[in-house]
Amino acid sequence: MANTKKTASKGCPLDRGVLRYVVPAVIMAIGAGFLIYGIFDGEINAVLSKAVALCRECVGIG
Amino acid sequence: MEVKASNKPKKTIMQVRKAVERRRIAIQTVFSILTNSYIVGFLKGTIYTGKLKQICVPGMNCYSCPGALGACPIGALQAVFNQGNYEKGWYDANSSTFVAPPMYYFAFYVVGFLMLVGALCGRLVCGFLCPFGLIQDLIYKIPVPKKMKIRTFPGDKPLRYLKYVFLVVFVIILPLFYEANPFFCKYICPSGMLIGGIPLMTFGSLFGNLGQGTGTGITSWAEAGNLTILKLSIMTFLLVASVFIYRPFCKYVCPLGAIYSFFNRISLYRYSVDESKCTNCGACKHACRMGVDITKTPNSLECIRCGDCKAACPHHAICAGFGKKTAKNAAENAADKVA
Repeated sequence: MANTKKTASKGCPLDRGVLRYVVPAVIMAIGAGFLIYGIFDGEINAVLSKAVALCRECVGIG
Repeated sequence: MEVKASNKPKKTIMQVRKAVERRRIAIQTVFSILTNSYIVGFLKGTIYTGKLKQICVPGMNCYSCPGALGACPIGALQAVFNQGNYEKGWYDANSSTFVAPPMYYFAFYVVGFLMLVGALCGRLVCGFLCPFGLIQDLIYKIPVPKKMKIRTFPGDKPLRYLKYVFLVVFVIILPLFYEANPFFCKYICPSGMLIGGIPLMTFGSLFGNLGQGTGTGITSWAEAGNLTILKLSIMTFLLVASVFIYRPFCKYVCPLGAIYSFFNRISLYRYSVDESKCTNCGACKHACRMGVDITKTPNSLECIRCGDCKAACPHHAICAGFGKKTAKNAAENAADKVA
């Protein structure tokens, strides 16, 4: 049966064209900015301090 | 120039699908071993406490697993949100001082990490890099009569939204505004129980110095209580369900999958369907165990980018990738591979 319906781009209007690359690139750039800001703001220490301390309740001990 | 005809017999669709599945499980296994390779933790019943734990891993990998080398992004997100609830702030290991946090702290580092990974590959992480996804994949392989494998059921679709509820309520709202508790880790996460709680209590009981007691980082089954029963029940329910339903945790519960799903439609890595080759035969829809019809929504929020649909397509009409590769090119490549 021949395909008569155009279905491929139905779910995603960004499949073609420049937006296909610009949108993820912009989000990645913002993400990288957040990540670097978080590192320099000391948030990484908050992550570390939680990750290295065994939280019994967090893993269901108790 | 004379072109030699290949004597290799053509692979059947089933063989291609099995090969794709084997390759995916191999990648999941290698990644899970790499990110959980702190052997000492298993021997002593304790956890890794080095600097690597500052770095988040992309998948659902409890940082209290004895072998874990990195931090779980969902645990880290709650931990940072919790900081706003600590009146006294948190201890900065570098400057040896306590840092006073703002009233409500936005988790720049963790959110930035999730945006980077999400915009790069979306739920590809779920399909290829998540250790708990691997566990569910392996459990689903347990042979039971085909009739007992449930593809869909009444209420399946509404239940898919449950993971967004868990994300908003247990990961964001409660840790941010209510009290300093990682609610999702504490009350729900079966991954934490399976790869964190159980190994810690077991290896702690077997090899740990139990004389040191609570607060030393070594624990045992003697400390198990009502919380353990609750989390063991949730974990057991989801693992048993995994025998009959493909990845129930990913479909209905996982807040990390919920976050990555938002990026599926815009990520660099994506799926597309070549309309000129697709005959709407339904092979892809039938192959998809996440219940996605890729011909309708090539980058559905539910798609974990496992590649089952691509391998099952007899017309090589589906392609996936980061670059400019068109569906047409991908189809030609796939045809060459099969030949």
